[in-house]
Amino acid sequence: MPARARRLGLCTVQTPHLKLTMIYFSEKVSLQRQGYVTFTPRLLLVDLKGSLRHLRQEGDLYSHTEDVKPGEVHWPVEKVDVVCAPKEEKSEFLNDLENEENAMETAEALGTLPKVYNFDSAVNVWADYLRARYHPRTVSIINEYEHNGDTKPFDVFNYGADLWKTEQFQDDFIDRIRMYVEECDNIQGFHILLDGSDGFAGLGTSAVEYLEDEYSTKSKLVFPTIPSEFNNTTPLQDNMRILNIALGFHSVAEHSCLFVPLCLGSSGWKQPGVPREFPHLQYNSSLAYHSSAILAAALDTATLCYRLRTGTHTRLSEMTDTLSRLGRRVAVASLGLPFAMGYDAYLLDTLEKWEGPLWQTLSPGCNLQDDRIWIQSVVLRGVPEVRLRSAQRDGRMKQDTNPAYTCTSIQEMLSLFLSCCSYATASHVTSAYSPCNVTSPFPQIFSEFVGLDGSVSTEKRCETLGVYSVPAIAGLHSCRSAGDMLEALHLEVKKLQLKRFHYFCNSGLEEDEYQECLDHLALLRGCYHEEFDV
Amino acid sequence: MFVSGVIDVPETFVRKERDVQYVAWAFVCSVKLLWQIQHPTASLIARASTAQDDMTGDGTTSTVLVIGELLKQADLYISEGLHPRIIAEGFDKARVKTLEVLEKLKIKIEPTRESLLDVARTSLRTKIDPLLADVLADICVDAVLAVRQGDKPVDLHMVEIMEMQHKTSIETRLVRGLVLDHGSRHPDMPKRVENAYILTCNVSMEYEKSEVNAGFFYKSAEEREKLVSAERDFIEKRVQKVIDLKKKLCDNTDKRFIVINQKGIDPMSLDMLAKEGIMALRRAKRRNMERLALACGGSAMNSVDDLTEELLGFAGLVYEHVLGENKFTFVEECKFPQSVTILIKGPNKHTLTQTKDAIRDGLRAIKNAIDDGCLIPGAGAFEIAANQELLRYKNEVKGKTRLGVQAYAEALLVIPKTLAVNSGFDVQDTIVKLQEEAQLLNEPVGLDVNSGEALRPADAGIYDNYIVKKQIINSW
Repeated sequence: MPARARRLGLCTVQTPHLKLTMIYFSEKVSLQRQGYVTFTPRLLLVDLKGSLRHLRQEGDLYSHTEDVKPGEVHWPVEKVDVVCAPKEEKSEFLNDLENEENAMETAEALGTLPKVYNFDSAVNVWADYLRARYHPRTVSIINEYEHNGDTKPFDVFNYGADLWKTEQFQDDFIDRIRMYVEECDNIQGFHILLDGSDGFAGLGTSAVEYLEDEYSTKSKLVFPTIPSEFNNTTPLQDNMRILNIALGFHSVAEHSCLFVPLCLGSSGWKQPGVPREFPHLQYNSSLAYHSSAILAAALDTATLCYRLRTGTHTRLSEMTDTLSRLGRRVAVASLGLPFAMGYDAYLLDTLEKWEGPLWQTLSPGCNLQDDRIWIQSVVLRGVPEVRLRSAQRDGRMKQDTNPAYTCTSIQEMLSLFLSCCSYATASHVTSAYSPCNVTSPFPQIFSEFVGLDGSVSTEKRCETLGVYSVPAIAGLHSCRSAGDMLEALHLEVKKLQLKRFHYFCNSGLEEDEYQECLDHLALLRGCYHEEFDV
Repeated sequence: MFVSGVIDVPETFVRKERDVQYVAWAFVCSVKLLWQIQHPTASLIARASTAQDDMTGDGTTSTVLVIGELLKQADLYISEGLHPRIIAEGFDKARVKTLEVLEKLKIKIEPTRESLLDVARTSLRTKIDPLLADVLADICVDAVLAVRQGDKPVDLHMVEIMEMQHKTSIETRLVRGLVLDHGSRHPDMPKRVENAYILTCNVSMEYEKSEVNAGFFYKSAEEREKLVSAERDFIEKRVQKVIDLKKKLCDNTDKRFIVINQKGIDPMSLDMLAKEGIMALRRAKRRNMERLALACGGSAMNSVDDLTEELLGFAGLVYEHVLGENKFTFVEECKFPQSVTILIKGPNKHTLTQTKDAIRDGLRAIKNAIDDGCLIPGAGAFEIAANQELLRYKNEVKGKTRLGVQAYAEALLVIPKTLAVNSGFDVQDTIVKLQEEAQLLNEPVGLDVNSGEALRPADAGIYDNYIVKKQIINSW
């Protein structure tokens, strides 16, 4: 296969930068161009002007840009004034990526260990560590607002909602959606990933509304994300964010099948609060690059249950419908990264010795520990079947009545473990062989006791080497604390007086609409009371 | 009225003649891109120009030019100590008079092909090069005449605009039918079909999630399989109904059958259809469903029960055109198309956008002409005539207000002046020449941009829209 063909597309998502994306369920689209078969994700993303840096809007997969030389202008030189825009500086990673590609076109790739880059200081926007190539249709840019612009920030829900009504979206964007859908043989649904705390909430929810209208039988799984840290914000900005989040939740709950708020902060709403701690990770919560990598790993893992080609064919709709039973449209996400196993340990032993929770909660304002979980979908990846349990022990302990010894697959054993640990929880477990790939551009946030293959040991890893893959566990849970999360949000929003937020009033938010949003949040919260449970 | 804000106007606006044009152009661009303009006066102008675009779809540049010139003229008097309110009063009087002149000059027309061609050409030639303008003018007029139904107002939405990055913009053409931007998704389906029945429908022909008992906890794998196959059966029956209809209508004739569906069609259903030689397109654009019904007859179906021949459309020729990664399906040779497509071609994105904008303006100009039932002589003739009328009227106005009228009369001349500059003639020479001619002949004369001499706009077929001029006058 030619070099251009397949670049590993790690699902990297950066919350404050990658604003609104819609990931289509199906993975790759193959296109034929100049004899190459290329694979690109079926993705549409929208970002503000000035956020692409070196990346071109239509991508460089199909048209190579020729550098224009000032001397080669076709007009008389004395009559024209040539102004050259400074070339965007590319980081070491991007240059290497380009070189690697050129080298691969002439010779086969060499089997070297992945190089470790220092991204932490070099990354400003998501394009800086983008590895996957996009289809020319993928990127849309909003020209009305500028990325990190001071004069006119894109921070009001209605700005986004109004933007959806412009020709750019009504005409061009929905056409792009239709083109992707048209080429799918049997589309199951849409993933919608949106920034929940600014104008993108409005734009994203309008998009969800459109999808519900146009593709009502397809599932829509929405992930509103909230950055894990805001620097120097004023109380006004805090409140505006809450309003955006609340309005977004209200609209998403109405039009999506299921939605899962994602944030690394533990308490949420006004300020994200203390960042979640992972036992084997050392990450910097103020870097969006780090926090988004964790969220991306969770997304990538938790959605595996219906993305796998092998095994049971669960459909997206089955998962969303089950988790959103009784109108409980909000689910909570969790992630255990890495799924801490010793280098040659077996799953049975690991689970037996496990202390503390299997995973950390990734949704704000709730905690899965000691929580009443009704339904959950859990995915464990990167643990091969051979490491289910030790063969020797198996023989020796035959007389043991532990039911775990009758398990013949990872899936079975994990279900058994989960049913032992929790009371009356319906768990759907999926296991996947492939581990989570964490080579560059994934940040090196693992503690030094995590080995190259993600195993946890007492020995330190060699400093110059980076972890390249880790086993991971992630889940989506319908649980009681999601109700607490909604209640906290409802309380916060109720305190606000809409009249004091003139940006919202001026951009067309009516008092009635606001009241309706509040009522809806309360109603949604009510679905989580257990007395109505059957 | 902008006069009160006149002191704030940036230097470039009032001083340099050449710059005014540039600024005007920049404004029009910025208005189109919806940039936020910070300067209060400038944003007022921008808003006036946007309103112009919304109301008439044309004349945005003229609006900006004239407003800029008005400010410039007013500034002269204000710097001499005249109070802005007096100028404003003069402007108001002058405007009423100008509207009178406009009424006087308008030429009644019948919406014939020739008269519409004139107005379309005038509008398009200000935007793109003449060769292309003539081609597009023909296309636009034919398109509007095709979708026009009796005396009802023309619905421009019935003219679909499609882009194809292919060949040059001269190759842009009118398709009396529809062009869809996708093709069939099955290798065995015919790529070219003649004499075809067209079934437009909004019926899902793919396996969907079951409404009952969805969830991933099944008692057994068999139970799940059973559910899936039951669903599958349901879809197959739908497809079979379409096939039955096809068999009834087309077997043993030279007619063929095409299905255009707004919902999806999955590979299994495609296969069933392909075996019968039916061409099937899925996920058609929502607004194309309505257009399809207008173009080929029939109506869009929401169910496949009780299908009859009357509900189907008919097209003489349907074929696929593959362009790189994109496929286009042409539905042509319809009997009485009430919806047509303008297929824009061009070598690059930029040309396509430019042509598309031009076509939009051209269509609007034609629609305006039909709606108004009258035209105004172009080539600056109206402005010259209004200028002369105002100068006469000035003498009737008492007091300092007449200075306002004078300023207004001068400002109107910016349109012929700009024409002169753009065609490379001396501004003063041209204006004086035109004024003399107008006085002599006592009828509207405009500028011949080729010779620099005066000409009768009616002879050259240069007409402007009445509503556009009216809107420009009213927006100051």
